[in-house]
Amino acid sequence: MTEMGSHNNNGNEKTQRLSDVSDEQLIQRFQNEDMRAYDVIVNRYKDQLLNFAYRFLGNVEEAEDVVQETFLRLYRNKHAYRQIAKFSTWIYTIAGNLAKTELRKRKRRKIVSISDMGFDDKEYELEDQMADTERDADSALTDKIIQKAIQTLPNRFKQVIILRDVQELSYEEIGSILNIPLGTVKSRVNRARLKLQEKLKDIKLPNL
Amino acid sequence: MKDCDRVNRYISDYIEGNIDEQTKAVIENHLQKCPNCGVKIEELIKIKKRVNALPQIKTSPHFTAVLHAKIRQENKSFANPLSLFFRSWSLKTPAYATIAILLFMLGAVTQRLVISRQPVLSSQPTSSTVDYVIKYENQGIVPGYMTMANIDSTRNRITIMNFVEVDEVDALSDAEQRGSETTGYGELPDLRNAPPPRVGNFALTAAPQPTSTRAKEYTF
Repeated sequence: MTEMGSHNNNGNEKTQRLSDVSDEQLIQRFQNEDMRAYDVIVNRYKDQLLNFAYRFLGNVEEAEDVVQETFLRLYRNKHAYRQIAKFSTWIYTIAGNLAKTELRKRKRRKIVSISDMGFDDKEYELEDQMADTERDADSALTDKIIQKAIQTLPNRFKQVIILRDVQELSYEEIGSILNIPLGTVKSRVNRARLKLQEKLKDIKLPNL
Repeated sequence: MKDCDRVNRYISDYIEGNIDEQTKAVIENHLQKCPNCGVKIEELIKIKKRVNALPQIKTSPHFTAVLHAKIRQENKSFANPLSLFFRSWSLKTPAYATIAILLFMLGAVTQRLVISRQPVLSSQPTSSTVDYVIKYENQGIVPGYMTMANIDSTRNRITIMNFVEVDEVDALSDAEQRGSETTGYGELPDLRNAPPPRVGNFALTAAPQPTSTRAKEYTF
């Protein structure tokens, strides 16, 4: 990794490869009004946050809105970040909270528009899909069914499955993001996997 | 049954190899006698792999442009219009400036430009400037590029704000969703008779003369 400021003049700093700089150094630069650092952060995290939000919400457009809002919050509140936390856990916390808010909004919309049957994630839909597959799903359909099954998990399980098994974050990082102790993270991941397995029990998963 | 419960409790630790030797031995001893638990573990490993292999999606091509536009709109509501964003993202940023100017000149020489009004996202301060999206129609030469421009009609000054690859349809769709006026082209400054616009510190002296008389299309 390029050491920041190692060549100690403004000219060299301009030419430094920001893509090699750590998250924490980037946010520090951004806090000092360097918008290029902000852009590098956006590029570094936009896709992984999108996947996180998408697996949580099941809708690409809503997920992208959540990621947009996450970066806007970062822009507005850059000084709220303190080096005591890893930047990645901080940004995931923001995105996770916004995704949960989006889900709550969605529930309210459902109450208002109860006839909108095309936009929900009720469990019976999953059952119907399972029947259609005749227990031998092809790969794309299997992905869809797994996604739907993840979506129908309660939020606390959904979050840990996505963070652990989709995004491959460590238990420690998940604990920081969700602000829960390590032991709780582990037991929650375990219960979430069993719950997901229960939902997928009628699906014959092909080997990868 | 009690041992099955124990397997359930430690199943994640077991499949991740994150378990002490004693508990591992108890579980494996149980698995010798309980085929159901063996199947359950195999299935769980499969599910974990499938979940991990779910396809990754990418943000849309205009993600960054939209984000910058939102930030710019926020900054416009600040008391000082020369706020952080403009200072950092204007043509003082050499890479963006170079790309934007090259693109602009390439487009000016080879292509027909369509300039459409950029949507107003929030209340605007009193200003003689208007934001536009500049699209390059000939996608064979510059495929799907979009440049955000701020045109100051009183000073004949164009400031390129950003440069991104963008899907044309999406860009227009974004504009429409945010309430842009599709009939607002009439407010466009008439650049055909204007002196060559200046971009930052660079004068576009090679700006070609227009031939089109249509209100919303300018051929340079």
